[in-house]
Amino acid sequence: MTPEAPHIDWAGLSPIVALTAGGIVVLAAGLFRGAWLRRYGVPLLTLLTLGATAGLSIWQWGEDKAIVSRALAVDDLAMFLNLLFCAGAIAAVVLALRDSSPEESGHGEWHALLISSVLGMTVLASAQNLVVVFLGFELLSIPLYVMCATNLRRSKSLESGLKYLIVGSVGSATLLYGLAMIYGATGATGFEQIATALSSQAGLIDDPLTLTGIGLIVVGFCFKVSAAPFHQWTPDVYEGAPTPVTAFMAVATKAAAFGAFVRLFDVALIDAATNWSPLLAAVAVASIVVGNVGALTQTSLKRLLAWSSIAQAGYMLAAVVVADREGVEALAFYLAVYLVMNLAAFAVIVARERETPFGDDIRSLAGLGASRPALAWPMTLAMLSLAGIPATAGFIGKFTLIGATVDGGYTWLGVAIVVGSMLSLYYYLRVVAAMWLSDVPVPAAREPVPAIAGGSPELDAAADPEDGAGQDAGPDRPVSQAEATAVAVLFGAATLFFGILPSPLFDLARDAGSALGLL
Amino acid sequence: MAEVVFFVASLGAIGGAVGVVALRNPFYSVLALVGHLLSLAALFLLLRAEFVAAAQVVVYAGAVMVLYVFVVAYIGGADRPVRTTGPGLGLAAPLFAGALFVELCLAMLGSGLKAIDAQGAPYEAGFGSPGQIGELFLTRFLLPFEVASYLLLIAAVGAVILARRRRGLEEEGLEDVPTVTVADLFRLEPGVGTQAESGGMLQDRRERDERERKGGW
Amino acid sequence: MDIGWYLAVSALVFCTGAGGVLVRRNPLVILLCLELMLNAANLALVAFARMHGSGDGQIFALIVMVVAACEVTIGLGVIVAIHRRRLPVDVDELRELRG
Repeated sequence: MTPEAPHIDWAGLSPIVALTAGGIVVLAAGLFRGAWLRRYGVPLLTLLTLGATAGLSIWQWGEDKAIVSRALAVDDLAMFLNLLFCAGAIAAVVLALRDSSPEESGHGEWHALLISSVLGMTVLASAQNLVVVFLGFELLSIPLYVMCATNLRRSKSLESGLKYLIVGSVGSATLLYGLAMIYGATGATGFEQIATALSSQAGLIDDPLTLTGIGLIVVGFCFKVSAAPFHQWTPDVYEGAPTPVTAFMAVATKAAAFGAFVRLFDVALIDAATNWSPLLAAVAVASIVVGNVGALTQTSLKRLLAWSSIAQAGYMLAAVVVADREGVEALAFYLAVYLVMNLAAFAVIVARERETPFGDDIRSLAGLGASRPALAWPMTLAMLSLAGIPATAGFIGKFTLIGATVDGGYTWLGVAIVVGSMLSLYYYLRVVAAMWLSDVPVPAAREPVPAIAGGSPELDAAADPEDGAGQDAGPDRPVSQAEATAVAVLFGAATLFFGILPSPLFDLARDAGSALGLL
Repeated sequence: MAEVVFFVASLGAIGGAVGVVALRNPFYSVLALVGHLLSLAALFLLLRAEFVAAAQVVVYAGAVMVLYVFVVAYIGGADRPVRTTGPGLGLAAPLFAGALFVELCLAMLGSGLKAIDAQGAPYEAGFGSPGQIGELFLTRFLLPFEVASYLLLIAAVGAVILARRRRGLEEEGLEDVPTVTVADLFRLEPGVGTQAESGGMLQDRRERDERERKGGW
Repeated sequence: MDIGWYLAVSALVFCTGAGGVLVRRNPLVILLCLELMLNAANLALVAFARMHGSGDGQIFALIVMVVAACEVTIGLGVIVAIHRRRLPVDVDELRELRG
C-alpha cells in the first residue's frame, strides 16, 4: 500500500514558503565577496523577503482553511499576526543596519536567523497541532538565543544569550511535558480532536491528567510570554541583547506566543475553561502587579521596557481569559498597538545608544526635547501610549481590553488593568520628564577604559562598532541616525494615528477575532 | 521477563538521571546521561517503539553525546563541587522537585483513565516500525517533518556563528576568512582567535591562570 | 507492565532534571539536566502512544529528539563562545546581569 501524499495548498502555504526560500537566499547572499554588497545587499534581500511575506499574507486575507494535513490554519488571525511579525522584523533589520551584531556574526547568518525566527512565529501562530506548536516555539526561540549572543565581544550579550537559552529551554521542557499529558489524556495531537475528546468523554475535563497538563502548559507559556512568576529572565535578557534584537524579541515573540495561546486555550481546551481561567486570571494579575512595581525603580530604559512588557503581558492575558470573540479582537488590536509603541521607543533607544556615551540609561534622553525633537516626540508618544493616555493608540487598546473583560464577566480583571496603568504612569512620565524638563548633561571626563569589554555598562554599550574597544566613545561622535530616527518617527506617528483614527486597525482586528469561530 | 527488563532499565534510567545531577565532574555527568539514554532506549523497546529506540541510541546516545564530550574536553571539566547557593535554594530545590514529583504522580496515577492501569492498546503488526513512522512523517506530519529539518539547518548556522574563530571584524579579516577545522577543537592554547585582538589578552590570561590555581574549573 | 509504571519513571526523571537545573551551577550540567527533562517527556510520549495505540506520540518523540539536538548545539556554542572570551563559565559568576 502506498501512502497517499497530503494535498498541499500552495497558496495558503505561500507566506511560509517565501520565508523559507528567503532565509536560504539570504544565507547564501552572505557569501558575497564585496563588503558593501554584504552590508547593504543582504538587508535589502531580507526586507524583500519580509515584504513578500507580508504581501502574500494580505493576499490570503479572508481565507479560512486548514492546510498540509490540517497542521496549519490559514485564517485572518494567522495573517494578521504574520503582518505584525513582518513589521517587527523589518524594523529590526532597519535598526540593525549600523549595528555591530550583524557585522560580528556575519550579515548573511544574522539575517537568515532573523528570517527563521519569523518563520517559527508564522508556524506557531497558525499551528493546529501540538507537535507544530512545540516546533514553532523552538524555531522561534533557537535563532533568538543566538541573536541575543551576537554581540560576541560583549560579555553581557553572550550572557544574555546563555540565560535566555537556559530559561527558554526550561520553559520548552515544561511546556512539552504538559503537551504530552494532554496527548495522554485525549489520545490526539490535533486541536480539533482534542476539543472533541474533551467535550465528548465524560470526566475527562476534570481528570487530574488534563488538569496537570494544562497547568504545565500555562507555566511553559508564562516562561515564553514573560508573565509572572516566571518573568525573572526578562530584564536581564532584554538588557544584554543587542537593542535591535531586543526590539524584535519584545514585540514579535509576544505576538506569536499569544497567537498560540488563544488557539490552544480558546479552541482546543475551551471546554476546560472553567479550570484554566482562574489560573490564567491569577497569572494576569500577578504579572500586572509585578511588572509595574518592578519598573518603578529602573534607570536602564531597556530594563524599564522589559518590566513594562511583563505588565503588558498581564493585560493581554486578561483577553485570553475572557475566551470569547471580543477578547480575541481586543488581544489582536492590543498586540498591534503594543508593537507600534514599543518599536517607536526602541528605535529612540537605539539612536541614543549610538549618540551618547550613556548606553540605554535614562540619562541618554536628558534634554532630548530641546536637542532632538524628532526623537523626543516619538518617545513621548510611545511612553504616553504605553501608559494609556487618551489620544494615543495605547488608550484605545486598553479601552478595548477593559471592555472585553467587563463584557466577559471579569470586571475585576478590568479594574486590575486600570490600577496597573495608573501605577505605570509614574515610570513612563519619568522618562518623558527626563526628555523635556532636564538639561543636556555634561558628560564626565573620559572614564578609564577597562581592558576587557564588558567592564562597565556605559562604556560597553558605547563601544564603537568599528573598533570594538570603546576608546573613542564620546559625545562628540557624528550625530546622524537617520534610519533609527525614521523608524521612530514612523511608529510614533502610527501611535498617534491609531489613537485618533483606530477604525482601520479595528476592522483588521475584528476580522482576526472572528477567525476562531468563538461567540 | 518484561518485568525484569523493565525493572533493570528503569533503575538504569533513574540512576543515570540522579548521576547527572549529583556527580561533580561534568565528564562523569555526561557518561551518566549516556547510561540514562541507553536505559531509556530499552524502555522504548518494551513500549514497542522500535524506531524511536534505534534513533535514541544512534542519534542521541551516539552523536549528541559525542558533542558534549568534545566540549567538556575543550573547556576542561575539572572537578567542581556541587555548590549550592546558600541554604535557601539548596534546600528549596529538592523540596520543589519532590513536590513536583508527588503532583505528577497524583496526576498520572490518580487519573481516571482506565488505560493507564493496563498494558496498552492491543498490539497491531507494524506499530512503531520504521514503515509506520515514515508513513506518518510523509502524510499527517509532513509539515513538522519539514520544519524540523529546517530547524536543524538553522541550529547548525547558529552554532557556526557562535563557535567559529574570528580574526578581527569581518572587514579586516575578509581576505583570510577564518576556517574551522577539526583540529581547532583540540587546540587549547590561549591567545588565539577571538580574544587575541580584543586588547586585554594578557590580563585575560593572567586571570585565567589565577582561576586555575584556585582549583578553578 | 502497566503504562502507569512507565509514567512514574518518567515523572521521577523529569523532577530530577528540574531539581538539577535549580541546584547545579555549571551551564554544561544544566544543559544535561535539560536533556533529562526532555527525555522524561519523550518517555511519557512513547508510553502514551503505546496506551492509545497511535503513532502520534512516537512522531512527537522523534521531533523532540531533533529539537533537543538543536538546543544542545546552540547551548554548547554559547558556552564555547563564553569560554573563548575567558569569562567564568558559571551561572553564579555571571555577575553583570542581575535579576
